[in-house]
Amino acid sequence: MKNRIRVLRAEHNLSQADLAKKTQVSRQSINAIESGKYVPSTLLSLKMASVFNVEISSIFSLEEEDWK
Amino acid sequence: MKKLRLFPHGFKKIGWILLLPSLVIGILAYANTWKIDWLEVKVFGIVSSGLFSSNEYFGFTTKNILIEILAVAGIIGAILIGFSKVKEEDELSMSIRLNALVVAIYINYAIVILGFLFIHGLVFIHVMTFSMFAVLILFIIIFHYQYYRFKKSFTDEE
Repeated sequence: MKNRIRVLRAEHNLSQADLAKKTQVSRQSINAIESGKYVPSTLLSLKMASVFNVEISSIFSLEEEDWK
Repeated sequence: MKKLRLFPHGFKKIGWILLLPSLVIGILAYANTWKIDWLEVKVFGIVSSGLFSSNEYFGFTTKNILIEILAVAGIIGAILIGFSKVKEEDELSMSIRLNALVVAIYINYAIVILGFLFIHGLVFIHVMTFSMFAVLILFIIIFHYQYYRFKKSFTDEE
């Protein structure tokens, strides 16, 4: 799964810690999601979309491997 | 789906205070069949059995309860350690916790199966005793190892 979290954070001038605070998770979680090591829950994804004021599909997109 | 309930973070410390001495003294007491005289007390048993007598139900028996105290304290301690929130508890730490629990179950029951296959007779009771505690101890070790490795593997933001 690909994500544009780093780009969106830059657009909104948010650090990982800022985003973590706004979405009520740890900075490690944001770091793990950004680097593709952890897939967030629907709830967390919705919170991120709300913070960035975008649709979830603007943050995350499926890759070929996700279907295996 | 309801959230899994965890103990508050502060309970972790209480867990270590209960587990560590119980583990150390418990292993020594179990291996050397230690007894403390003033812990020889009458206890209520739903089922009690003696070496040369048949089972008794819902009765009182006299026994040394050192091992029982250490076992209960150790189990409660281990549960508090494993199932207390980490400082920044969130879905990631919960995911690591559940993964560690699965791995601990696999390892523990692999050992139990080997015990069933290769350890026979009365000595087998040691396998059962081991597996009672090992699953929690393994879980604690694996969870903390995975969690702190996860934390360390992420570099600070540029």
